[in-house]
Amino acid sequence: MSIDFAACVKKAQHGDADAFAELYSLVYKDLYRIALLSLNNQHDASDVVSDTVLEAYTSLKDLRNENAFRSWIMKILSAKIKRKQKEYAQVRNYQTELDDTDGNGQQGQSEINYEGIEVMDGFRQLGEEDRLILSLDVVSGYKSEEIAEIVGGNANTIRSKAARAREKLKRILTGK
Amino acid sequence: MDFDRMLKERIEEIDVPKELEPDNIALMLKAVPSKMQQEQRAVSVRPSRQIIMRTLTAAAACIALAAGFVAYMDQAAPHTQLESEILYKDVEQPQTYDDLFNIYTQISLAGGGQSQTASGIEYGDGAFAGTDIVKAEDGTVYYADGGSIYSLTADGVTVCADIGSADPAKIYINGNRLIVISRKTIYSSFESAVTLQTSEVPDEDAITADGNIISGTSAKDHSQDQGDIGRICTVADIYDISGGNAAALGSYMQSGDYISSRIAEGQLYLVTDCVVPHSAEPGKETDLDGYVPCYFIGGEKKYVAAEDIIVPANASSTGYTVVSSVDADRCSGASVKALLGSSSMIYCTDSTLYTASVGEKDQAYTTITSFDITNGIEYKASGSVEGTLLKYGGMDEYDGCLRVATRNISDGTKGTDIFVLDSALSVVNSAGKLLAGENTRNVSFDGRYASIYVTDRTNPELIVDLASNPPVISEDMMNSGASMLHEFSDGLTLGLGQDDDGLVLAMFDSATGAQLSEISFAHEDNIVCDALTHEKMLLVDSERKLIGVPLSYSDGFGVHSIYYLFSYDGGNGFAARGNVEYIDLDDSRIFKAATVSGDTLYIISDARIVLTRTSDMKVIKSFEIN
Repeated sequence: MSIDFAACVKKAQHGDADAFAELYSLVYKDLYRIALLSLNNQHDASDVVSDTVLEAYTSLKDLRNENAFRSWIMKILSAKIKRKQKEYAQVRNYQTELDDTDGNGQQGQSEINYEGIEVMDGFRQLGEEDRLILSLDVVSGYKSEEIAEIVGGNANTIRSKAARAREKLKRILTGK
Repeated sequence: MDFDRMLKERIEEIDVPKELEPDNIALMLKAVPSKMQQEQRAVSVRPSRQIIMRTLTAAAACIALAAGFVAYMDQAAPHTQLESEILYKDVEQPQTYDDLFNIYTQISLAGGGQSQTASGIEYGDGAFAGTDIVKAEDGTVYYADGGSIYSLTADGVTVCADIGSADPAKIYINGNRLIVISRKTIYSSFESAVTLQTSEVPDEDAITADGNIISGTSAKDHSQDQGDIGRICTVADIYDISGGNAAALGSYMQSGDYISSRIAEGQLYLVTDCVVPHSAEPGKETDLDGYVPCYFIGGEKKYVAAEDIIVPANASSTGYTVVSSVDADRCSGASVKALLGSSSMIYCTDSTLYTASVGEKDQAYTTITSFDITNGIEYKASGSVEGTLLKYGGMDEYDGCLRVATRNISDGTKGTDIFVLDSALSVVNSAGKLLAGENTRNVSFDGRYASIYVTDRTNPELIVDLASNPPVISEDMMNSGASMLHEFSDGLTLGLGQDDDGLVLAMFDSATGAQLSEISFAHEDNIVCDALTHEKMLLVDSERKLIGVPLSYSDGFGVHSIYYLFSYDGGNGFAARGNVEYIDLDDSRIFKAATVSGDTLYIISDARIVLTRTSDMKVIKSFEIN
């Protein structure tokens, strides 16, 4: 099934939630995985994605180039991840949660499989900025120039950081 | 498995919470108060996850939604002309090290980082690159493996030298000289020169400033204690093979990781990509190790002269490309030049060095600069194309033209293009219209053809004839199922592919793409043929018109490693010469290389060398090796 992307954006800009959900369906997995790898916390990752969705939905009319939806929503996500990481630094209360209960005492709905835990452990050992850069690279396949556009910074510096982070992660995960 | 692929697969196994799935998000958005959809952003209301969950629970009780997954159709970015202003032509040459230091500092402060070469950083578990193998005039075959140089004749195999590297980058024969090029990590203090004795130093060891050798992990401890810095260098060890053994004559070494090399008229030309430690701080001008590439010859360390360093006008990285020429017979008389801030990608031919850097001005673009390296390094031309250069295999020169493959992913849309540039680096042809909507992962250039791979390296999505203007899709080649193309001779292109029945060799007319001949073989189940993705494993002897293919398959007895040999005759097409099982049912052993000398085929694995007659593949001799 294919969608008329431009028409979808226009409808969403006029408040059509279903149209926005169609656009969202193209990126939601990447959004969550980047948030989770960057923050290493399921609840905070979900919150950040939800915040991103709400902000994107309410400000979609600010998007001038409908073809740039993906990189545009990634920028919003990136800003929210960085804000959350600053909160962690301020609170000094950074923990990894694998099981969770919500306010109603119910178990969290998502579980991370064994391989996912290993990858998250690896990412946790990277610096905060490196996690965001590397997850944008690996999850969404963004190039250094695009990542620099999303998170801000010099493309060459981003390239170097991504390479170092990847090398470090490889050593952590493979022991080589 | 490739590390990146492994990592991506594991990440993709992470499930997304149900509340974030599209149908639930749609419910959430419908429950959002209308005031949030007004002009001003709602900055004060941030529903928490708990509110979302309660909203979704209530909404879901009232509304039934049909969930569905929609596919995204890529759309090609419109082709636009690039402005000529983004081309860069000017280069400057610093006259003193102080000049160079100032330039280097400016680039460093502007955020210029170290560069990656076109060879990139490849993560491969057991990725096979092929073993270099050369033949001397007397027919002796030499190859390097596991830290040794072996010589092969019909009488047997001999270890003729132990080299310092388990993985040489290249070996050459030049008359009575065997030249082995390999990588080394050198730890040296900033104050002293290093005595070069690389042929005696195993790869994991290190050489200290006073020439002593430290073994193993203590080398790294020593370097940290002494504040030494490790740097990657490329070494050329030269041996005299006139006496039957390989006697070490001397070595030449230069800063940087191996990019390319060649032998021409008695000279060895070496190109490396050099990363020097940053020391662009005030007062560090005299610390040449911090910003100047160096080389070693005759046991002496030297720095590339300031006037031999070229700086392009838009240099943006602090890496160097170092180009040198050395007398290949005596290992003397080094002439060395370097290019500062070259690029993130480099491609080299015998005569030309191409560097590429990526920028953005309304859209991503790639700037290519060429340098003549036939006599030192001299600026030739520059040009730009749309898109971001593919990291691997994105540049290739053929028939005087440079082909450049880019991905255009700006504005959220994806596309691929292949540009053909003339010697002035002006675009003379482009395959964009053929590749609209394709998101290329790899491109393989073979003569006039380009194979475009979208998902993996065994099934090209398209095969395009770039010599045609405009380029056309080669339907015959694509229909043949060929996944590996190789220029066979003038006017002929060889293809190797795999279908449900087995492997297929095909021969095409290079000019028209028409298939001339085809032969299928190896019909067993579970065929594994690495030559489909690693061109070095395919033997193509254009002079003798022979083609060799290593493969393996498994059955109830174990893994069979088989080598097939074919000949090609323009009049009669392919003929099978035969095949031989060169490794006994041992799946831990691997194929290394094969070559033909005279009427003998040498099949080299890491356990055994098998010699066969090329006429019928009958085994002549077989040697066990460690």
